[in-house]
Amino acid sequence: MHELSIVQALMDLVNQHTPPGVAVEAVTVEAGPMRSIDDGAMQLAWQSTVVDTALAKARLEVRLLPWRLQCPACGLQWDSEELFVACACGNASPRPVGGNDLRLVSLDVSDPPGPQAHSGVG
Amino acid sequence: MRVSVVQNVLKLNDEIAAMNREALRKAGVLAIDLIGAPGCGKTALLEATIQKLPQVRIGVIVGDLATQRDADRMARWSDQVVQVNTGKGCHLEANHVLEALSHIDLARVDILFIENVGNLICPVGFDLGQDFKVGMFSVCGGDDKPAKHPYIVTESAALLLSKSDLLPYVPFRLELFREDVRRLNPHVPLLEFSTTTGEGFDAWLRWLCERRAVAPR
Repeated sequence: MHELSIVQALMDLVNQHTPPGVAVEAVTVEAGPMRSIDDGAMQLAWQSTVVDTALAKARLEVRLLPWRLQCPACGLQWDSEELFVACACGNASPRPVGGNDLRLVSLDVSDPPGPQAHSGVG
Repeated sequence: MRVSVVQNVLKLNDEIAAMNREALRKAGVLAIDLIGAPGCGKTALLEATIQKLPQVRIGVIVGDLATQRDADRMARWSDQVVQVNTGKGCHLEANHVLEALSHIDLARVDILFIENVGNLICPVGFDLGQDFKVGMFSVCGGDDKPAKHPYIVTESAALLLSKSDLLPYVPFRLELFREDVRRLNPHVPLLEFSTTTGEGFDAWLRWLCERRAVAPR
């Protein structure tokens, strides 16, 4: 359940990067396959972490990235859902490249209140 | 409105890990994060290592969800042992190590092992400030574990396969195991040993002492 630690770190990071005076509507993170992140576990961890905070209504979008494989024989690189697959050239042992990404990518926030902004929920 | 951020989620953990690394290097301590499943023999490995290297001062930070038992085992051989109980936490984080380091006299340690919570998944992604991560499998755990847990294989500076004396008694395809490891991390030293019979243990001790000689200072 490393998702819980990850979500707690994520919440702190989101709060640091939220411009003043706006509400966060959605948080997008990307996770490489090495991280073994489960979207369901992330959602559960997120819900239980943000409850009763300013982020309670913020959605979490988790983009699970595919494997990036490289063939040691022909050098071809491609994205794959599976780790253990053969290369088109016949080589049976393509190797993963990277895959350990874990980053906050973007925040969707409400428009900042201007001089004639509407109050209330949007 | 979308605000682009692009930040490492574990930035704070990594910053604390960098502080730990700095403190360990300043003290000239080689630090190894030992990661393996529950019951693969991490504590037995460390007990045997401490006893077989009396000339090397070995300290241990050991993480478990609960109990002081591992620290009690190793305190028989080393006076620099700290138990960290993580409660519900399935892995150690850099701040656990920062706190534990305040209970260790680094001037009296040459090699510090950080025995992580038994788990092949979560601990891999958290930098603790170690010089090396070492992953550990046992023949009882099954030959498919490298393929199922690729991250520990790619991140390890050495991989250990314990309980090799039990190979005749368990269905473990050693060739498949080695092949999967090679595919993920072609040059990683793969050390097969048994703490019960002592076979293969010298290769581990040799690897360790070589790392101590080359650790950044």
